[in-house]
Amino acid sequence: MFKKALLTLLLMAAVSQAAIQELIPDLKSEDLKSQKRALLDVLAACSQASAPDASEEDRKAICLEMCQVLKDNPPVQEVALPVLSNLERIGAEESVPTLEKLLNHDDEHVRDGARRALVANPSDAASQVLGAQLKNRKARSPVETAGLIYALGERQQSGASRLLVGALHSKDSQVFTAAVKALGMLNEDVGIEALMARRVREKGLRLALIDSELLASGRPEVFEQLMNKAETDPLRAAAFMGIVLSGDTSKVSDAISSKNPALQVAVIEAAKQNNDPQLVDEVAGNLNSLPPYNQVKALIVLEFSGNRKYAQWVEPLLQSEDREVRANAANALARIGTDDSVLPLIACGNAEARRALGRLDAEGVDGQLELLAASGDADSRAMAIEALANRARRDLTPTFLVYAAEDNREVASAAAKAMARVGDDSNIKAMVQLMMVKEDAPVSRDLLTGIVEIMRRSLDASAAVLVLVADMDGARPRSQANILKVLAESGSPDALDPLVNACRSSDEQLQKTAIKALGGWQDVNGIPAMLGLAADESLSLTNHVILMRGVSRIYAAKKPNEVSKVDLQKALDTCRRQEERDALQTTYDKARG
Amino acid sequence: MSAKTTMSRKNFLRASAMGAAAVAAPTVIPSRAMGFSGFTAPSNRLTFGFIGMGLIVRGHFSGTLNRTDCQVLAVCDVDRAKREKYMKQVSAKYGNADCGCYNEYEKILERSDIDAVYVTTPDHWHVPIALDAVRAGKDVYVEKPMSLTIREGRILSDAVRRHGAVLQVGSQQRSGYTFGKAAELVRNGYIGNVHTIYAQLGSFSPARVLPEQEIPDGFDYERWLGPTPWFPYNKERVKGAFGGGWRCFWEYGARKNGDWGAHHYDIIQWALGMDDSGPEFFFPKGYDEMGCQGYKYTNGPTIYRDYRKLKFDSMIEFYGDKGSIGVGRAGDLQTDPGDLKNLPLSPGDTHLRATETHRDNFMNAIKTRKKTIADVEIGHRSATICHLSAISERLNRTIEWDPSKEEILGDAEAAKWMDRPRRAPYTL
Repeated sequence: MFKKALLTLLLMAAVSQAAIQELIPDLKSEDLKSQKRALLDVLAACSQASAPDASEEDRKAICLEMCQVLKDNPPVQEVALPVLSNLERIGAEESVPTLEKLLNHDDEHVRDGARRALVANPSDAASQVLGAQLKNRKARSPVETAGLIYALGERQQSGASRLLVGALHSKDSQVFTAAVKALGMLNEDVGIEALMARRVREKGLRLALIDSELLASGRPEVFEQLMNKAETDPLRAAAFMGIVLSGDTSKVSDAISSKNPALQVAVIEAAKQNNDPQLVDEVAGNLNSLPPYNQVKALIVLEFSGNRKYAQWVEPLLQSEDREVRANAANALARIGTDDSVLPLIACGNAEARRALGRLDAEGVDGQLELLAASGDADSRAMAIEALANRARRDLTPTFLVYAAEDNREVASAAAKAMARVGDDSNIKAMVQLMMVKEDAPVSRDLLTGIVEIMRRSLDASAAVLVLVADMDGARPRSQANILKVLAESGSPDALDPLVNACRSSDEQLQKTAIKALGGWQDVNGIPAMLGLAADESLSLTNHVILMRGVSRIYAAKKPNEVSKVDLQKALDTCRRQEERDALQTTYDKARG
Repeated sequence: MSAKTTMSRKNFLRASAMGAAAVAAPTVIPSRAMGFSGFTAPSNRLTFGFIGMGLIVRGHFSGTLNRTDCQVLAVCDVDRAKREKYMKQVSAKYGNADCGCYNEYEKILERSDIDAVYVTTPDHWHVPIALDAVRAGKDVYVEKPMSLTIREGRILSDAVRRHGAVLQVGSQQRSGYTFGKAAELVRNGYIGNVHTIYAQLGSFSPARVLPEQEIPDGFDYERWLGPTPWFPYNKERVKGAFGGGWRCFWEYGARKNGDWGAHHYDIIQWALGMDDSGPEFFFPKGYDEMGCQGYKYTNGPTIYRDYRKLKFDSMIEFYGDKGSIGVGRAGDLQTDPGDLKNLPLSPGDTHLRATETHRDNFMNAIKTRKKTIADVEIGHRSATICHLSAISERLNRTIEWDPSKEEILGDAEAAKWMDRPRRAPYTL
């Protein structure tokens, strides 16, 4: 690899030594590949000559060489434009005279290429040339005038504003736009005054552009003028925010407590942007008197302040009639709440409050939640259990198992779901046993789902399968069915063998349940086992159909290119009935395209 | 259905005088009246204009058109066939012919009845349009990478803040489960100190010199080129294709560093908690024994692009002194140790994962004014990495970068690439 890098460096050095003139024939070549190679060689030569460790003489020499190429009036497209773009990158004072001449070239693209090269040229002479062009050349198109005006703005040429203010009167949108933006970039007194004077005569997009530049000026005196009561509320608000962000907070209290929502938003937005303690205090202090749509914005400020002292102002809003306010209050408390926020969040109970309880990182929160989980009304207990799981309290899995065994449906369900969230392989046995004990209760379904979730993320699914199979022996039919469902829904290849064994059981009930479970298998890896069983002539037609429909469903869920036609043919050959064969045939036809 | 007649629900700073028509109306309307509390009155839908009707707009367009709380009021493209195709879809959906259909984006920005715009053009138009939209008081969803140059990204970021606008960058991996989970694990130290990261970007063929062709009827090539240097028309130059087309050309973007870097480098920034900063050293292929292009964070990891011998064969792989993570699209999340990905976060951890889709996050931010998950400063900083990587690749040399001052150090020519002079009469 180092050899390759060395080779690249050597090649680049060689190119830099080659005269640009020598590359001109290739640049002009009709062979586009030769042209491309030559373009890259010119770029490499220029990059080499302007690298930090190159000499100024090398850079100047290659620029003068490119200027000479341009003086020879080369073909525009193939030579002049790419050479100009390289001068744009590495040219300095030595290039200015040539570029100046090219501003009057016959070809508009060359003229603009020269202008752009002057824009990027570090020499003061470039500014003088651009300014002189703007002053002296009268028969210029609006496009070129706009280009020259904008160029002076981009170069931040001190004193250039006086040259540009006249263009604010232009009816041509390109010239006008360039002048407004250039004056904004220059941000000189004369230009800003001209923009202020002009804005009273403008409307629509033209006025919007002027106002945008005035707001960007960062000048408090401009903001004060834009605060005039004759202006629109939105503009006054933006200007007021500028005043506040520039450090003058004297009118903040009046604004936030005013009935003017736009000024309120200005304070809120300023507080959001600079997180100034005084501003945030003002926002918090007026939180309750704000209209709901501004309360939402204010809550976001308090959330990102990170300051817990604001929690007391936020908590009452959890009971707001406005859904968005409640949601944002909960979000805020997730970040700035205290242990005092736990009960209000529980009482609120919306999705955001539940999530907040899982994230609230304050002393005493876990203790409060544990107490709430242990006693109280079922709703609160369930929510506290959920929160503790969301807080990754893996140490509480024994407690969750105890709660899952309770008769209260809500508490038991929350606890089973908590097990699903934080449990691991070591909890499977206990969960299976509880599922068997509670086989008639709704929580058995939650436990089943939980076991499946744990198995799906298990790194040792085969061990988990062994635990399940061991418990299946001697279990009642309903529990056996549940375990078989777990095996099937887990999707673990390790679960296939025990499922197939159960499908071959002499216990008719067990066999039926197992066939049903296997028929619900989701992945193609189960198909060989399913077909193997379905091909068995001793299997009842009903069980055969369940399995073949399962096979058909798995194939139908796959993209045609993911389905092996050979395997599909095997499945077709296994079908006993035309109905299943037809369904598979449709999939087969799709796969065949 | 007529265009929206009531005031927008957005009661934030609309600094522009574009809202002249709205001045007579109240600035704000109580949220309940605006349907903020669980229902959306038809007259208070969020209203959208779409600018750029190419490949990437399809999901955004259908995802917006089919929402009951949104209304598409206008479409814009420099290709007449494309804009008319989408205009017809809007007309068919709403059963009227009210949808604006424009060649010039300014016509969308002039409309005070439009709340927000999607900017789904090629990269070189992202900032010029987004910036004008913010000036005109619109909120913006702009595709990734957010900018063509570092300087224009900074200008847009400052303007968004100044105007109190909402902007979402289309780096939607931030809203995906696997990337969020991976970022959380890295950010919270679950794999220890991260020393190496690999990102798979792939590569484009070198852009070719193309012969001139006739400009098709109905295609405004001058506008398509916009602020970029003039080149003769060729359909390959303007073609929208994920594997090539305009994406191959330096003039319109940062090639793969921008195309996929805007996704993967963005996730790396997020995971490392560097959203308002960035790496400080960039190097081209051949810089070290890895043979890859890349960059390095001071006192942080080195990122290598397109290194092939990976553990997980994932799009992005993080390696720390306590473990590793591979993450990609379509649910790819792998960890070593294997159960790392299953660990629930504790309250003390930083939670990053999104709870809504990328587009919903934008829509909700328009209503609440909350920062989006990929806001303008994030988009700017991620795009900066794309651009600095591209500059390093283009000049075939190392670049030193000061992320606090946003300056390239000790290399005047490289520093010039932080911006590109615009073709007249185009401005920022």
